[in-house]
Amino acid sequence: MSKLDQKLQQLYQQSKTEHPMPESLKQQLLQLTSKPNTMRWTTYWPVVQGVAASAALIWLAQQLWWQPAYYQIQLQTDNSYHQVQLHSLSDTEAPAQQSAYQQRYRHYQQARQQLEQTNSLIGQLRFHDHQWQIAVCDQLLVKIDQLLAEELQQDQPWLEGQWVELKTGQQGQILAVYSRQQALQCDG
Amino acid sequence: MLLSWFSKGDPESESDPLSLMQSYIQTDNPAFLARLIQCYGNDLYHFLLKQTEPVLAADLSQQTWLRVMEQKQQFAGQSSVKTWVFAIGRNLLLDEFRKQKRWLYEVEQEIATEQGSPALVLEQQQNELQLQQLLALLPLVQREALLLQLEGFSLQQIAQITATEAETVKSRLRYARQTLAKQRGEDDE
Repeated sequence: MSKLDQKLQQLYQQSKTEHPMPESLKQQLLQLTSKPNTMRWTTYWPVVQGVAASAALIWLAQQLWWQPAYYQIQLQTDNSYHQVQLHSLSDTEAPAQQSAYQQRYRHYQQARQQLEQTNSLIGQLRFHDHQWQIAVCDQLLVKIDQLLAEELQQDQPWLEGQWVELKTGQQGQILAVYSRQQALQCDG
Repeated sequence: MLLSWFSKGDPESESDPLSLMQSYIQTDNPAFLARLIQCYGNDLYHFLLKQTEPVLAADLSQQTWLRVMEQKQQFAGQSSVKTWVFAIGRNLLLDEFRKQKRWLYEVEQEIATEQGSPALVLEQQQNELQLQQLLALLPLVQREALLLQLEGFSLQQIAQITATEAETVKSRLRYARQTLAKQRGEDDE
C-alpha cells in the first residue's frame, strides 16, 4: 500500500469515526421501521404454517386415540318394516333415564338376538336423508350413522342400490359390509 | 421442529446481513431492517456526506432506507446487501445532483486543478478538511469510486453500485490516484 493510500485510508477512517449518522436520523429511521408496514400475509405465514401443522397433529391424534367408544343399537319404528335398527358410534353413553333405558335395553336384546341368530344378512344399500341404510326385504331396516358408515367404507366405498352382505359380531354390532353380486329374493 | 418454525423470525438470532435481508423479505418484520440499519447506516451516511452537505446526506440516507423497505422484493441476492443499499443511495444522490444541475464532471475537474497544493494540505493538517479537500480535487465519478474503495468494496462491487464495468472503475481509481499523487508530488506505486 502506497503512502497516499495509507493516508487516504487513515483520513477516511478518522472521518467516519467523527461523522457517524446523527442520532436524530437514527431514531427517525428506527421509528420508521417500527411502524407496521402494509399488512402482508407473509408476515404471518410461519404462524399459519405452525397452526395448520398443530391442527393436523391434533386431528391425527384424535383419529388414532380418541375413537368413539360406544357402539349403540337403537330400535325404531317404521310401518314399512318389521324392525328398524339404528347402528351408531358415540363418544358418550346413552343417557341413563331409567324407564327409557329399560325399554332401550329390551330393544337392544331383541336386536342382538336377531343378529346373533343370523350373524350374516343380505340387503340392499340405499342412501336416504343423508344416512346409509340397508334394507333386508321388508323384514329389517338397518340404519347406519355417518361416523360408522365412514368406518365401514374405508376399504370400499358403497354405492346406492348395491347388494351387500352384512357381517355382525356376537353383540350384534356390524363388523363388515361386503358387496354381493346376487340379489336377495324376498318372499311376497 | 415446530419450535424452529416459530423461532425462525427472531431478528436477534440472525447476524449475517444476507440472512437478515432474506428474513426481512420473507417475514416483513421491521426488526430485521432495524438490524440492517445498525449494520450499514453509518457507512451509508458517511458515503453520502463525503459528497454532499449534511442535511442532504441525512435526507438521502432516510430516502435510501425507505426505498429498501419499498423495494425489498427486488433484492435478488446477486450482490451483497451493502452493495445493494449503497447502489440505491448512490442513485438517489445522482438524482439530486441532476435536479441541482451539479452533474458537471468537467467543470469540477477544471475547478479541481485550480485548487491549491493538496500535498501541502495533506502533510500539514490532520483533520476532516484534508479529506474533503482531497476529494474535491476529483471529478464525481472518480471521487465516488475512491470513496467506495475506501469503504471496503471490491472493484466488482463498485462496478455494481455505479452501474459500470470493472475496468472502467479501475481506470477511474487509477486517474484519481494519479491526480492526488501528482498534487502531492509522490509516486502512487
